[in-house]
Parts: sequence; C-alpha cells; structure tokens
Amino acid sequence: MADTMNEHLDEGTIHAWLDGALTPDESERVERHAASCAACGEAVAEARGLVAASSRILSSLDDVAAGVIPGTRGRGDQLAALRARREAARPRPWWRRREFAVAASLVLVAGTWSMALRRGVEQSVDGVAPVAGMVRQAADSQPGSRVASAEAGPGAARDARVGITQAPVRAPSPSPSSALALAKREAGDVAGRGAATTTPPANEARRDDIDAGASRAATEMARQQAVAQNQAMTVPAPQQQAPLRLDSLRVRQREADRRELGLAARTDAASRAGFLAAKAVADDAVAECYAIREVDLPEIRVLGVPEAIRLVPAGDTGVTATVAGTPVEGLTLGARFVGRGTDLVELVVRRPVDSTVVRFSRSVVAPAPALTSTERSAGVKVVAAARIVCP
Amino acid sequence: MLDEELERLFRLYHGPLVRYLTRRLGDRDWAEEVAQEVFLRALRQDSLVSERSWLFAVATNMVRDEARRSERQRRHLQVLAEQERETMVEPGPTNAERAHEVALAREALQSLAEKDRLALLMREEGLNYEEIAAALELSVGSVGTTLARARRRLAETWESLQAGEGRRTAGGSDNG
Repeated sequence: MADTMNEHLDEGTIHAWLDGALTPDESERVERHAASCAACGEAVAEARGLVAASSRILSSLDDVAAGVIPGTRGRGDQLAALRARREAARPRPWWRRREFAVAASLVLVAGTWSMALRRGVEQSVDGVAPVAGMVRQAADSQPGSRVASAEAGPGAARDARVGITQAPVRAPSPSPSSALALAKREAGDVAGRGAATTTPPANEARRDDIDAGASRAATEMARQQAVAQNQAMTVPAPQQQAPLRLDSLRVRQREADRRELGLAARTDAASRAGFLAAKAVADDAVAECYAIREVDLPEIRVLGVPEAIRLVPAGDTGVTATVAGTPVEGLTLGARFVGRGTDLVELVVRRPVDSTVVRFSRSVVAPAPALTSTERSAGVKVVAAARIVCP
Repeated sequence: MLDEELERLFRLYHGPLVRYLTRRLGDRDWAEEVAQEVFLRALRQDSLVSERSWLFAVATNMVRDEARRSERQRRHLQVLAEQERETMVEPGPTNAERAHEVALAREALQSLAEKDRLALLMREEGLNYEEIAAALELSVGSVGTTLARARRRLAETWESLQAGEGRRTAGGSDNG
C-alpha cells in the first residue's frame, strides 16, 4: 500500500482496490493517486484487464459439452437428496436401530423356518436366503482398512443400492424385513455415527478421511431412498428374489469393478434423469445464460447474482434478456448487442428508482473493449460474465 | 439446522460451491458429490459463524485430502470420465474447439501455485478478502498480492499457451 501520494501503488493494493476490499479512506487515496500518477494509472488499467481476463479464462471451464451439462439435476432434486441424507443421519429410535432390526430379522427367519418345518412342506428357504445373503454380503464386503466406526461400510450401502436399483416397480407383497430396509438402517447408523462429532474446518478434512467412504455410500443411499419412497414399499417378495439376486450380483460386480478404478457408478435413477434433462437443455440451443461476476457492485447485486441472466439472441441486432430463475420484483431488463457482431451485450437494468447499464462480452477469449470517456461518464460499466448452464 | 436454514444455505451457496469445485476438479459429477458432503457436514453443525468461508474451506480440505489419498485413482477417474464424455457427447466441430479452450484454461490454472489457485477460484465465486483469508489461513493483507499474482500468472500462461498453439498451427500449415 502506498503510504504517501508519492509512492507508487503496489499490485496487491490495486487488486484489492478493484475487488472492493479496501476501506473507504484507502480507496479514496488509491483513486486519487491513480488519477495523478501515469504509471499507476497504467498499472490499474492492466490490473483491470487481468481481472477480466482471469474471469474469462476460468469461465471457459464451466461450459460443458452437450450430454454432460452440469446441474441437470435441479436444485430441488439436490435439496431433496440432502434432506434425505439428513433424515438418514438423524438418531433413530430403538425400534429402528440396526441391532433390533437384525434381531427381528433373525426372529422372522427362525419363525419362517419353524413354520416350514411344522407344515412338513418341502419348502426351501430360497425365499429368505437372498435376504440373509445380502446381509451377509453387506457384512463381508466391509473394507478392512476402514476404521471401526464405519463398520457398516460402503459395502452395506452398495448392497442396498443394488437392491433398490434392481427392485421391480410392482411387487405383490412388501417385505419390511427386506435387505432394503435393513440396509437403509445401516446407512442411517453410519451417517448417524458420523454426525456425532462436530469439528472446525481445519479438522473436517481429517474426519473426512475416516468417514468419506461411508458418507459417500450414505449419499447414494439417500438418493435411492428418495427414489424408493416414490416406489412405496415395492420391495420384491422373497420368492421373487432368486433371479434378482443374480442380477444384483452382476451389477455389484460391475460396480465393484468401476469402483476399483475410482469411478463411482452412476447407474441410479437420478443420474439417468439428470442425463435426460441435460439432453433437453442441450437441445435448447437458443438461450444462453450468464452469471455476472462483479458481485460487489451494488447495481449488479440487484440482479440476484448468482441467479443467471438468460439471453435469447434475436438476429444480429437484438437480444432479449430475463433473469433466469426467480424473477426480481420491480426489476426490468433491456438488452442489445453493441458494436460490430454479437459478442458484446449491453444490459440495461431498470429499477423503479434508477437504472444502470452494464456491458459484457459473450466471447471467452475477447474481453469487452474499454469504454469511451462518454460511456464512462454515462455510468456504463464493463463487467465480466461467465457463461453458465441455464437453470 | 432447520429446513428454512438448509434451504437458505443451499440456495445461496450450492451454485458457487459446485462451480468452484468443478473448476478445481474438472468433473461436475464429482464436484456435486463433494458439495453434497459439504452441505451434509454443515447440517451437522449447530451454527456457522462465517458460513461461506466455512463451506469453501471444508470443500477445499475434502478435495485436498482425497487427492492426496488417491492421486493415482483420481487420474484414472479423469481419464475414464473423459472417455465417458466422449461416448456421450454428440460429435460436432464446436466440441473440439471447446475442448481445446477448456484444456488451455485448465493447463493455465494448473500452472498456479495451490494457494494462488484456490484464492482466485474463491474470489471468482464472490468470497471477500476476509473470507478467503479465513478459508486458506492467510492474512487478509496478503490476499490482494496473492490474487494479483494468480491473475497475472493465469493470464500470462494462458496467453503463452495460446501463442504456442498458434505457432504450432502455423508451423503445421507451413510444413503442410
């Protein structure tokens, strides 16, 4: 920071000033110095260019090609998944705890066995075996390297996910003692244990080491729970599970293979829906959405950043703009292309009391040119805008 | 944490956090997974004093630790993710250009020192200097310098990569 008017501004101070991070006094001092010192004026202009260029370069990382457009799972879906995960993380009453569930399962198995024997029917326990098998697999597949607190482990959740994914939509009789129910409880317990401690950020990552695997498994569980709830109690009846089990094992094997390679399997319904939605967005080739980066400008804040501005180019001269997402009360937008070509967009933001004009470039590589003194005095502002996927 | 609080937190920070992570990781799905984890951890907290810097710090630490733990797997994951994309993306002339742009930007970003890169990515998501300093354990006074260095290096590297590509293309044309 330049202490006196005679010292040149250092680059960090200039960037802090441009980022609005200086106190009003400091800002004023920097502004005055930049206005009176040619070298510093140039440094400020260069810094402005660097700020805009950086934003532009980074924003090019956001535009994902068709078919894999990000954010295709809507905000609502994400929130639902998060809520489901929270549910899974809540402490459970005693009658829903795993120990009780296992005991209940054993009682049920024993009861079924005993009834089969009593009836003297040559009834195999195939109907029960898949359940017991999946429970056993859940126990067997827990990675030994995990700490004891994650005893249910990713394996349990993986089994559960397979069980749900493979479940037929319609089944004649729901089975509360199914592997699905048990695995749900397992995942709940895992997440619940994870919730037992609270640590500051610095320690969070260390704890992540411990429960990242279990927690990731719980993520999938929660997502599947949401799907499963829609399929209300459609877990296949035991006698239908023999072929299912085979399929499940195949899927599990494939998934295990992919997991070995570090690729989380994305075979769940939510992902499928996401890709379909992505396709739909990709087809909407006309609209473009941008998020304006200079969130510190009060006149930009009114746009509701990070909500997006949605542009629909109309020929070489016109463009219509709306704020994507929730409309901002009392705000209207006008937009037009300026200069040659259609790279430069000027956005007029009108509010009941005032209005402002911002200009940004749609091009990733070509920043918006500097303003003329007339434009500057008219209050036009050049901002960096990142192309984003339309919400 | 109440439902309203969750919604508020999610609405405010989910987008920026996923974008930050996507830029960092180069994989949107992975970024969303990490973001979910971060929000889940936030839900377990009674209260967050500086919620935005907390969220970004936790996300940063999660990614860093996971990367350390399984660098080899991560590289493999990226290769597989790229392959998966290739099979899903419709072929077209613009895809190659876009991929090239992304590759240049990513290479330029990777050329930055870790702290510089993170500070810049956080700033791009609207974190103020205090929040960046808190998340990265820097002094507030050094954030401006860090950002200045990061921006300059990013832009210069990007330009030199671009120029190198241009020379190669020109050389190729001459040879051809």
